[in-house]
Amino acid sequence: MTMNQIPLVEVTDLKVYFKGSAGILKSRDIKAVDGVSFTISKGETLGIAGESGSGKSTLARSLIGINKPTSGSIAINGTQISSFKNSALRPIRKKLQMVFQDPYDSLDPRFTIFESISEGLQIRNLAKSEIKDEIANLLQTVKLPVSLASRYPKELSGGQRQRVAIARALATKPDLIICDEAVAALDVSVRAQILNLLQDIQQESGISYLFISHDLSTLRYISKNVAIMYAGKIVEIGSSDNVLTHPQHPYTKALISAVPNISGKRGTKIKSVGEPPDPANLPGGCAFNVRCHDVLPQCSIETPKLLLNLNDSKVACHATANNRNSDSSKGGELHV
Amino acid sequence: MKLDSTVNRIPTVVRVNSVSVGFPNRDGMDEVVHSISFSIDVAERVGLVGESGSGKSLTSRAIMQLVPKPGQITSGTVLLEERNISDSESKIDWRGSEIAIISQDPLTSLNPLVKIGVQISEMLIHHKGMQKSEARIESINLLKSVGLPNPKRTMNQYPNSLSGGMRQRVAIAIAISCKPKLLIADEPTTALDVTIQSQVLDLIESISTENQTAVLLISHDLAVVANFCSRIIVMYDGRIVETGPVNEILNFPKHPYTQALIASVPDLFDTSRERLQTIPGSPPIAGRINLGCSFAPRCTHASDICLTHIPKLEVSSDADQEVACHNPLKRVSS
Amino acid sequence: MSKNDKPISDFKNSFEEIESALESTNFRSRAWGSLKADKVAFASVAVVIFLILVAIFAPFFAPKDPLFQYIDGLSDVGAPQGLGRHFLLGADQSGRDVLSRLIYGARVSLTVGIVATALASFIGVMIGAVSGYLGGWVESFLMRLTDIVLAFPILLFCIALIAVTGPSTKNVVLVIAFAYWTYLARIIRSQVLSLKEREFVIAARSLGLTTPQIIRRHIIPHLIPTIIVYSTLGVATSILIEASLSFLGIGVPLPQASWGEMISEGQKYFQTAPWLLVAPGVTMIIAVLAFNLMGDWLTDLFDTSAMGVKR
Repeated sequence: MTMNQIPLVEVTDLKVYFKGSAGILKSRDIKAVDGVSFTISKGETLGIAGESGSGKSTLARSLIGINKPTSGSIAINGTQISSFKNSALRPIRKKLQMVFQDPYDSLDPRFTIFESISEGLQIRNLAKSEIKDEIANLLQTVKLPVSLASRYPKELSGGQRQRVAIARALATKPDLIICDEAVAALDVSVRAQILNLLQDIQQESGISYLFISHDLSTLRYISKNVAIMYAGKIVEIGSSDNVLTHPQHPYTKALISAVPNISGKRGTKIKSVGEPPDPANLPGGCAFNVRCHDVLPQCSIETPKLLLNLNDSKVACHATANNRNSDSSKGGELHV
Repeated sequence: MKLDSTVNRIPTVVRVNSVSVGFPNRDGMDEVVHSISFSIDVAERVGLVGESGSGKSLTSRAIMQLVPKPGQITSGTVLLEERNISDSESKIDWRGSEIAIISQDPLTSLNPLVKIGVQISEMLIHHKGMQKSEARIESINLLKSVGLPNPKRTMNQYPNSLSGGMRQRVAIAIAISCKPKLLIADEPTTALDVTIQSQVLDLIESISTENQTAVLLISHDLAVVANFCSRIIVMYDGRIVETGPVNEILNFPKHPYTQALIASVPDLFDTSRERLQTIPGSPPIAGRINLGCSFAPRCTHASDICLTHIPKLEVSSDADQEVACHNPLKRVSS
Repeated sequence: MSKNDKPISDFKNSFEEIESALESTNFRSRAWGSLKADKVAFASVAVVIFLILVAIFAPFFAPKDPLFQYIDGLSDVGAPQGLGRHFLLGADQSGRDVLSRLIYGARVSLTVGIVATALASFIGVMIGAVSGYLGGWVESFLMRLTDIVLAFPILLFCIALIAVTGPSTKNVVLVIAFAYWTYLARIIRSQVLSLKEREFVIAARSLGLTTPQIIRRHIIPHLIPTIIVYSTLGVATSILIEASLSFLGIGVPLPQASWGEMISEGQKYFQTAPWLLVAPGVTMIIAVLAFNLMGDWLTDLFDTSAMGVKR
């Protein structure tokens, strides 16, 4: 893929603010997503990691049009979708689909599997006989027996339901599927099945994923690039090998050291104190400064910009920026 | 697990002797936990790992003698320091004071209408017979010891004004208020963020070391257990399929299920991106009667005997490890 | 695709199998099956059907003219005749046949109950669903309106309205409907508020379904149990409100018979002719109970938790 080709998805300076609870004198906006930019190319996976309140789910919902962006732009194949009216958006919106966390809630319990999946097909105006064939194809794509089509979600296991949800998303022939914690609610042994299935589908159809997860190990496995979100902003973004093996931002470092690892004891331990901030009441400057070990005086005043780092990842941190300026050989790498 | 005759061994806190749990159905009982036996030593940290429906939570409830109705313990005994606590005549004053439990969501275990200070003091007054003022001071100390930034203020707050992590700390403070001998932690960090998870696990770890408290950590997450425990019990469909020291289990699993479970978890530091190994199918529905090993339909090593005979949990030849499998995996020297 | 991912079971691509399975779960067979199993439900549905048939075919069922004042309906001293061969449930103070009046009264009471409730449910569901789903100023406006109507005590409100419009069967129906829709609107709105945050509704939105499609396919079907419970309760309540209005003399105009009017008249003669009160009273209790029990059964039938479970 050449550099000047238009990326599949281009999100530029996206902001999603909510009206906060009105105080006596003023109401404070909740900045759920605050100036996020990224691109996803065809056939690629971008992973987004962050803790609760980091804005990763709001970001996903604003991409599929559930939450209206306050400002910024979302472009699919070069076409702006954030400026369209709802009805004009419909044909473009189906290019973006979503697979949700809770397979017990994402399928209408009153619909059979056949009916659920055919909802995704209805927008394609197929004939009745074509619908049946297409549903059989989709069920085979997600490796489910076609005989399940007449069942209700209640009769299926969690993994099977998640496969149905994937089939329903695929029914619209989307370019991008947003997986919002799509494997978090599944049993460990079933999780790997779904991850492999998603990869198989990607290899065959060249679909792109935006994979949202709090689990860095899963992101490492599934995604080529990864973005770390904190308090509505991306604090570090780059290839997952760079970001997860050589993290630059103190928050990324803390996050990685907090991940329990099956292959042995935790490595260098960087304990992060405190808790993720309340999105309605963020600290000034860099939102991480109250929990950070590397904090500088300017951190509580000035919000750091997302700057290109040495190893092609972008980091929003005053301390790493200073380190790089003063001593380019020392990147503050974390070897675990 | 180890024999009692061993000299100089660490004393046992809790011994579970072939406990079975069942739910009544029309024709009798659906047994969902099948004759489970294990023991936990003083200050030992044991991990109980299994997927949904494996019976891990019911096992912990069976220790507490709190199996949710209409389920009941159909056979077996639980000994707390050689005292039979599963006897219906035995007093229940050990509950909360000698064995305490931390649940997944403290919002459900804490009373939302009672101030946190009152909820902790209650325990101290009830179990330790403290005076109200004395209990208050002790409560503040407890809250301080679990790392709450402002214990005095927290005393007068209600549970829902705290964050999930802080609530879990309060739940821990209540659980350790009477210095229990065994702390059962049932998925204590599942609802928490990663950084908070590591904080809470560190806290439980330091409490365990300081107070010589044994911990039974119940989790679906092998990685959490791997970092926290010294011994692992793996459950599948209401049975223990493998148990042993953490390093043995993780590096040389003998049961195909344990091996597959480990291989199906992605590793953060694995750059190879090798395809994850998967276990075909889904976990079985609890309560079904199986003639043979209930993992056999999903097992790549299954042979004919697996379909007809349920394997027994037996000490394996080359390590302090027990496995219930007809075709246990050989230890490959690496 | 990979050796690890074994299919869970063999693929069977026969759609005949699917279609036959779909048939077996169809609604009618499920309804009939549960009716056969549940005696109380069976009885309540039978009573409701019977009452409706009686109301429709009142002239065939009624042994006498409900409005005719029979001379032999009164004794020599002018007291109404008791139960007997001529008058199965006795005669009333004017010598009219109580059984015939009950049968014709069923027409009025059931019509008022069912039509008023249907009207109220329709208004309530529409206002509740639209305000819950759309939110914003639409919701604020509709809900404040609901609050205003809700603020009046229902019976007093009806009395006031009837006083203005004048008593007639049509007005009684309209007045009850106008007072009763608010309850359903509030309940429906709160259910829609939680439904629209469910992931399957969000999934439907991302699939590109239009708002009316989503409301029709994914919202309304989930409201059916609620609508049915409140509607059957509503039929019972409407019958009672109509009775109260008649009791106060502002219901269905005389000499037309309705159960409420009969109770209202009957209680004056309770000590000398108790059947005048007991007959319509018991009938009404049976009718109200039957509607409520049928509501329970329908709730179970529509309950999602029971959906697709083969017994």
